[in-house]
Amino acid sequence: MSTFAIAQLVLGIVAQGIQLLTQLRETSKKTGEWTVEQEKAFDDNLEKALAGEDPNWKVEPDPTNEAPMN
Amino acid sequence: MKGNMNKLQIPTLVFLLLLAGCSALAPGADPVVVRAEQTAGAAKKTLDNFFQFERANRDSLWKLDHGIKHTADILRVRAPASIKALRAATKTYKAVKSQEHIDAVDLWLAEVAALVGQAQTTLAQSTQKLGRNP
Repeated sequence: MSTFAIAQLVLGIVAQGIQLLTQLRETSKKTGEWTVEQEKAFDDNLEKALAGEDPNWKVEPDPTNEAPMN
Repeated sequence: MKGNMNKLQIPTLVFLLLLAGCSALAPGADPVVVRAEQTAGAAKKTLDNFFQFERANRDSLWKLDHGIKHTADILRVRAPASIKALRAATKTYKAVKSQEHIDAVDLWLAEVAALVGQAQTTLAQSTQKLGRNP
């Protein structure tokens, strides 16, 4: 793996970290514990993921069996 | 490559745990509960981002590296159950408030943080392979 590729990878991870920091800053405005409504909303949403109702969280078949290009 | 991933994942995990624990607490809030809830929320959002990106770019990524979808699928199976276990441990701790239950919360926090770290690393690799920023 070249130095450039590693640098790109590190930059990508840093970008993700900044995105997460932004999200946490938003949530840290409310630094108390979740309300009953917030808990319910989160848990209901998680149940949808567990039940495979959210397509992004659902395991789908692989596109093909062809080998990758590299 | 695997060695590089491990070297990158460890600081990412530490970074995540520090971020989850660095906000000021509201009066009366239990830091264990707040940390657990914030981590669960942030983990769900991060995994959402990764799964959405992988699904939206599946055909292109599949041609470059089958491992990205396979990693995403492993996380799709493991992450919801782990976040649910973290939520269950948090609720039990809120009811009982013992050191034993703090340990249980910490255990699931570490598991969830590891999965999030894996998602972040794979997302960064995916965007790199596609030649764009996340």
